[in-house]
Amino acid sequence: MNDKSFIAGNKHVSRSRSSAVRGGAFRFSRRRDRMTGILLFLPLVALMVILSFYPVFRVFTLSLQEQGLFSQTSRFVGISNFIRIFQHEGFWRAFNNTLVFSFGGLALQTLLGLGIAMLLHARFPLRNSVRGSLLFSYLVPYVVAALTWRFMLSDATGVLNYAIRQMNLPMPASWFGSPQWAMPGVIFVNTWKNFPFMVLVFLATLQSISPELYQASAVDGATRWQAFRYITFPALVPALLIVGMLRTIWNYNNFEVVFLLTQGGPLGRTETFPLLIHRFVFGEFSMGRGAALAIVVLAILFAMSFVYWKLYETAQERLS
Amino acid sequence: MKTLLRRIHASGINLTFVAFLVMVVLLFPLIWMTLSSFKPNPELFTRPPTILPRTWTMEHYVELFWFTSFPRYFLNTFLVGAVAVVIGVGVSLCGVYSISRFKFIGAKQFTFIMLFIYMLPPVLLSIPFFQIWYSMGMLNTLTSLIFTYLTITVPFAIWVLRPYIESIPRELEEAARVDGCTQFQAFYRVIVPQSLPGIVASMIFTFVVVWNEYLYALILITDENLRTVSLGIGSLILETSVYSWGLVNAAGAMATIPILLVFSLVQKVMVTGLTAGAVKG
Repeated sequence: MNDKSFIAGNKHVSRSRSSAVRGGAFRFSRRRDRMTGILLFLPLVALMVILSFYPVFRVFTLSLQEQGLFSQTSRFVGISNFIRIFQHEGFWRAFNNTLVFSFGGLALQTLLGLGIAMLLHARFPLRNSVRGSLLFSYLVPYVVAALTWRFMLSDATGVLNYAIRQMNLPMPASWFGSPQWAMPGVIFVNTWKNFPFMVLVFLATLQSISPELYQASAVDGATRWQAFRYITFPALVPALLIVGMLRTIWNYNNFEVVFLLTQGGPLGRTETFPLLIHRFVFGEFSMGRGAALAIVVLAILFAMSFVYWKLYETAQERLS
Repeated sequence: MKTLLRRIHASGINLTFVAFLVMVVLLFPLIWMTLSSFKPNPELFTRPPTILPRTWTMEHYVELFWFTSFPRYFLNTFLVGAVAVVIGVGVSLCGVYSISRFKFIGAKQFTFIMLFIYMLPPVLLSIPFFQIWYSMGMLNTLTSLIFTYLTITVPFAIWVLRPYIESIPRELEEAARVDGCTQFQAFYRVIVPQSLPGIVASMIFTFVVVWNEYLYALILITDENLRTVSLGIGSLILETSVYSWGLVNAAGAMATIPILLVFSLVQKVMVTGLTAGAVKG
């Protein structure tokens, strides 16, 4: 390094030091740094514009067009796709199915998740290995979840199928073929697959409650129920609303569970919105109707998220 | 006092018992699948079903690896996952660093939009993706699958990486700059090594997500040679009317065990990834 640049370097340092003092934070104001920053940011923006913004925009334009799956020509048809899907016999059925699947799954996942989080919050030997292995079902692929439940309930080989027959339980030995039991069946498998997420979040919340609160309440003579009602429950509410929203959205968006277990059947009893979209596009080859339904589905998703968000805000206000 | 201690001790043992019972019940489907993959075909159909295989056999695994295309599916999935993870995490790392160090107009909104993209129904995105790749003549290519998976890996990597990058003290970079590094050198000599745990976490996690993905593969891939593992198993259980359950179980076990092994090795890292974006901190 020659003398000149060394001096220049020094100057640069002293200037930035003083700016650090003035601005409270260290910042190089040189244009080159800003260029580096922009260059680092650019690939991300480019990727997201190409891979997310454009596709979302494309869904909107497709919903106003009539276009076959394998055709390059399209025709502008205005809102007629929307009119057609609202008149479609499957729409309101799918609406009901989706709500039952989303909120039924949410309720079961919350109950199971909360129960297991409270169990794992207690101290006992080997707790950590139990905690780890209880997350397994959340990590396995959906195809594996579908495979194993289909296998356990299958006629010739299923262990659960055999148990149901032997015990004369008031349910069909093979759930997914029965119009009454297919929906509870898919909700059940979805719960088995996804409850560990609830366990993780509830466990983190439970661990954040100070044990002194419980000691103090015990000294004051509170029962265990009262301790739960006035200490544990209020602490869980914000977490419950946030994960409740996430899980509702993920249940609502879920395609794999139902598709791999029942494919929407029997008689459309388990056909949820994602399956109906899939059927419009890849079964009936109508991109336009699929896209239109996707937009409606997105609007309902927004409405649900908005309600959750308002609830969360109210809960935060009340508790603080 | 003594009785109290004894009671605590006893309840601890009981809790372990209860927890193990719960664990066995909840893991039963996976245990059952793995055990069944070692049973010879006739034993799979015996009534009452056997829990442990009476005769252990590797025949389904031999069939899986020598007489089906599954080795190829594993290779495809691995390839797609590796490329999607490296590109996704790399781009996200640069982007997150840039957002956290330079105050761009709209950077905050941008990260919010990333969360929004993560919430979009995949089936919604599958429509334009099919159309885009079809019009480019790229349906049935692993490249199209890789790019499509970036919509999963990038938002995820951003949510995992952000807290790591933001927790690195600026003084470190400052010191590097004083020592004559350019901004970019400071980034790859200081920030990248410092956030290595976060990078590894996001890589492992996004790889698992891609490994498990089913819907996009179902829509974009129809060529049998280009199937991913999930797609291969999916078509086994959906398309064949009479299942060869031993083979299906072996495939399922092979798709699951690598993930569970990785998870057991880096449990803590995985747990952070699982709740990324859902819990603060």
